[in-house]
Amino acid sequence: MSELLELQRRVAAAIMHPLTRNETMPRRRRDGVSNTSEAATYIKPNDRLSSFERLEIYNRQYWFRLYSCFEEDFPGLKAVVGAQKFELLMRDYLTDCPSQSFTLRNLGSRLESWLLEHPEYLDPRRQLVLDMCRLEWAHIEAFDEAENPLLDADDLATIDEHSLLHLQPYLRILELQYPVEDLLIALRSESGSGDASSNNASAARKTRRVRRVAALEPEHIFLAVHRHENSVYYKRLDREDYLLLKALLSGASLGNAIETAFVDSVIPEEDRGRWLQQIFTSWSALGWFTR
Amino acid sequence: MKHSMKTLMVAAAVSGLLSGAATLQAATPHSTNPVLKAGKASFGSASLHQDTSKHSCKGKNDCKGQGGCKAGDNGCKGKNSCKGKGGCATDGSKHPS
Amino acid sequence: MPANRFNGYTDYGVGIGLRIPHYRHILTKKPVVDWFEIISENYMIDGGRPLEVLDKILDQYKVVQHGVSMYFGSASDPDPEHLRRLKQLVKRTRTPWLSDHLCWGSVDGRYTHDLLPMPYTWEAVKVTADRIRHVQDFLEVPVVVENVSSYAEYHVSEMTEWEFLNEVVERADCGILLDVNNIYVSSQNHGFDPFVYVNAVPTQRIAQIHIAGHSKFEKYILDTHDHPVLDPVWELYARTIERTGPTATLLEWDDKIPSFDEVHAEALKANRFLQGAAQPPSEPAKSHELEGVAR
Ligand SMILES: [Fe+2]
Repeated sequence: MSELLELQRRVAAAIMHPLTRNETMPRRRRDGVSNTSEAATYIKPNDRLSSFERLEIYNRQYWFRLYSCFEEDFPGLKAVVGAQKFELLMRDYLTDCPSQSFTLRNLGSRLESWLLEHPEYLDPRRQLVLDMCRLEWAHIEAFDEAENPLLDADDLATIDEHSLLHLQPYLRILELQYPVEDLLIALRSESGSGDASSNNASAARKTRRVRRVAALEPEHIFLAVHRHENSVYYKRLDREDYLLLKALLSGASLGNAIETAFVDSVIPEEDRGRWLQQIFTSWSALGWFTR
Repeated sequence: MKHSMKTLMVAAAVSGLLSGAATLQAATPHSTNPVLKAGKASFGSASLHQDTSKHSCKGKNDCKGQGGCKAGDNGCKGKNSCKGKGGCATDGSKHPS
Repeated sequence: MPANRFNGYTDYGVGIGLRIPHYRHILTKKPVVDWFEIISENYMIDGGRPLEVLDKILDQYKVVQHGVSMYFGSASDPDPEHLRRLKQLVKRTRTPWLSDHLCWGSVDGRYTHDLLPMPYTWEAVKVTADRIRHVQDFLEVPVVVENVSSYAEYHVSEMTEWEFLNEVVERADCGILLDVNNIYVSSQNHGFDPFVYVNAVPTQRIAQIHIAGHSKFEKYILDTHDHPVLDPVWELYARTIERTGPTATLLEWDDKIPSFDEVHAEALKANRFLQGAAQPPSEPAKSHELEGVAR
């Protein structure tokens, strides 16, 4: 093996290893390796810092950078899990799922599937935690996914029941058990208001936040997370809207998607035509259908 | 669903698609930049957008700061600027008008 | 150097990094700025607001791309998706040159998102130079490499940092983005004379200079980019300009970012040195400088 590769593997293993509770580099790693002797084998000490201390600068920098990015992406998750548990969640998730992308944008891409395998971070409000995670990840994707060209007159003229309608890549649809979008908006507007520099104000905000999360009642909702004029929006959907969009996204023809949407629907048959016309007007005006 | 019923439903959907596309086209500003053009599909004063969307974070600066970066030549870099901060708004009504 | 094949024969003045808190000011007030440096990774996306803002900036300003995750010194191969997206952005911005760091940061497909110091070995020289050539060939734009701040050195190193830099850029035949703040930070952390470093860099390859602020701790200095430029860094800058002649200069301010005007005013202090600098550099340019852009 190349010496360069060998060195980089060893340094990366040290840097990406979790810090101690005091945010220092552990003397010994989880696998028993001594960081003190490991650092000494490849890092020169100087007159002020030992090999260990020099390596520790990078170890700390790695975690601080990742934590700050992750926290910025999942403020709602932090609120529903609680700040202390969230610290552990970040540490364990990023240890199990280190970044595999050149951009930190994708840091949370594996969070939902990871959480499903880590019930200790879901309990006692499993569904709320999962819902918030899904919403916040959908927001990240809706923010910068592609916006494809709209259907032109020729495309529109040829649409029939067999047509496959393509939706904008930025559109995400979610089925949720809690109205987490209301919670997230409330949390955001609270953290963006008031005097951030005052300790009293921040303690009061924290109390409000905890109460708000505790008071949140379950509600079965359907949500579109989408983009308009480059801002991200949350749009509540009806069950039929959701089923229709879901069918279109999975490649069903227009005719079949409509059929799927009305399975067990409470919308009376005589109203369905008008209902379909309305939602398609709305979605089309939002620019959701693309070539 | 009977075939005749299905045909009616599809016709209703297509008619909606066409009228929505017409609304959108009428409101799209002219631009020479295809990306901007696509991104600027605006409803202007069209009632549809106003009815369905409620801005919930007014006064909050979209994309303010990057916050919490901890040192380094790439301290705040390599991080998607402003991701997840592109304005937060919700939809108040269930049925768009 | 004022204009050379490494910066696409441009003669850019003093720029600042394009940062989010300044978007609104720039787009509404349209201040006069020589040029902006963007972080490539922030715009290597498929859509949304960042690209909308970028397009507006491109309409009105000169823009140069600066990357943070190409990791020329990583032993494992680069991600083809990264290269594809970067090239797409190069086409959009028409950047006259493109910079990234002389460092490593990923291994076996895992990213640290940090700029980690290289071991200064002959093997690393070869790996890094090969990678730079590969990237430059693929992107079809001059690639320049930036020296990083570092807090650690390796036992295996066989040369000094500046010797390593010189070997790499000669073999890759690429330009240099000389970050004089990083030289200062590393010189304090490793105990070398920063002027020896500055004097050793081949002037004909310098395409651009970075200036920035740093933070001093008890036992080391950290490259924080959250301050104005400190005097010892200006001194290194002055010496560099004395050697190269006026060169595209960029102030990096990435944390605790003050108002646009404050950042820009800090950058414009560089004009004190640029205006006083003699046009022709003190060392004769090598003949290959007159050749076209290396591809
Ligand atoms: Fe720099």
